[in-house]
Amino acid sequence: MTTMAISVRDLSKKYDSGFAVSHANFEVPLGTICGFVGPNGAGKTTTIRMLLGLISPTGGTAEILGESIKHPDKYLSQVGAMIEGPAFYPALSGEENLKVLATLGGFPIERVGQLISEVGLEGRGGSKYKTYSLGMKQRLGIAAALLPNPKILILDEPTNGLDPEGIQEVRDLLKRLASQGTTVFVSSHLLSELELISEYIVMLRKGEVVFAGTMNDLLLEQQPVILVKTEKESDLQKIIDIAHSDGHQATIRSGVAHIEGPAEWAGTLNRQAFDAGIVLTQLAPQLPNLEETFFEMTGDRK
Amino acid sequence: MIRVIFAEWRKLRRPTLFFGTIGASLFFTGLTTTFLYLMIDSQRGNSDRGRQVSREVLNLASGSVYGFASVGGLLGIIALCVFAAQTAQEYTYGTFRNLLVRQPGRIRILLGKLIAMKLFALILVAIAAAVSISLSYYLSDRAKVTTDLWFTSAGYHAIGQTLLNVTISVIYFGIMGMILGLFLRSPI
Repeated sequence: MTTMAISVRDLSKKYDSGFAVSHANFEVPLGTICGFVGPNGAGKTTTIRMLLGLISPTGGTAEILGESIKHPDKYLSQVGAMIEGPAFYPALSGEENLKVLATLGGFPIERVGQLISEVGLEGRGGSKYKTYSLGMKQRLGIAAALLPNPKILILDEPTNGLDPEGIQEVRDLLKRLASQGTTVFVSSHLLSELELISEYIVMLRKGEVVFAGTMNDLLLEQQPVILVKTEKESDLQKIIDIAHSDGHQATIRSGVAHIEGPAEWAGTLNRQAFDAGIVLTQLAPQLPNLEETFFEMTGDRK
Repeated sequence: MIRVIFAEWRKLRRPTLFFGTIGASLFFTGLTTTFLYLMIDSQRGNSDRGRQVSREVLNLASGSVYGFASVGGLLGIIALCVFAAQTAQEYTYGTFRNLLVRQPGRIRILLGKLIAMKLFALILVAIAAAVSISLSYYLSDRAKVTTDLWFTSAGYHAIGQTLLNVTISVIYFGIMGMILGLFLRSPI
């Protein structure tokens, strides 16, 4: 019995123009939420398409629930997916669209009504898909992905077009599913959202995996920052001097000293400031957030 | 395979498509059959491309299906359009990938679609035949056409033969439509 929901080894997809995905390696444990991030064109959708058996890799291999992606029929009944946005028949109602997919996949039709309510489309299930707003289309896409009661849920930008309330609902839904044992593999450009829900993170840049591991490991790899404010602004330079003398990089930005260093050093700084007669009004060690880390690692900050 | 057929049937049975297509077929079938009988004495002809079909021809055992046989080509065109649009829309709307995620195997999906659409075409042909034969029988009196031979064994044989021919023609046009849809990937 595998403990990995997704296991990718040396996976590549090469087109005439070059590698869309190049020798990707990562694993996603069962029952976790894994964020899949990368700039546009990094190869996220290509990777997802390969995992779902929609396109064949040109190199390497991957397994979903222990089954090779060469045989998608062996695992797709346990996988829910929404890729490249929701796609449905505009002339059919949301409910009918789900019934088409339920019939095709051999899932109980009764699940349709239940899922319509679960994603917050009750009362609109009978309306034609073409009358739906972008947010409603996304919700229907998520409902379609949930049809098989999946062990793995693969979602490509599921919060696109959703309002803040909708985003929170999706976040709660994904957390709930993960708590029930569903593995969620979700790509999104809303990094702050992923930071809130993901335990694992796979970061892609130009088709290459630049990081794959737990969110904690990722953030710990980055240099933490200590933010310092003093009672007298003129004391800030003294704080910078203390930091430099202890070998830490430090700058003053908008009346706040930003010192690169571990959180534990904040205590030392506090003591030294007290000895120097400086009154600190703020001493806040901070880990970099996912967005900063993402730009740092992908080097894409302009 | 059976699940693909049922899933496709859900799309085909939507009222706009189902009744729209049946309505168009019935309109052309009714029009052709009505012209055949009501314009039987017209010098400008009463059949396709101005041909004259006389009472003697309609009096024959095959007379009951003459109107239906004439509209066969049009039914084929309707089937071509439906098959092409139903296939191409999967690519236009991006829904084909949804189908593949639920049922891997492009060939299986396309075959299931084809079978469902053939069933749709069969219903279309059967309804058109029933309407055309009924209308022919109803109008025969007014056009002074004798129906004595229509319901003999030779008449039933003619009905069966024409039904088969039109069905084959409609399915052939439908398959051509599906191929067009696959190549063009756009219903427009």
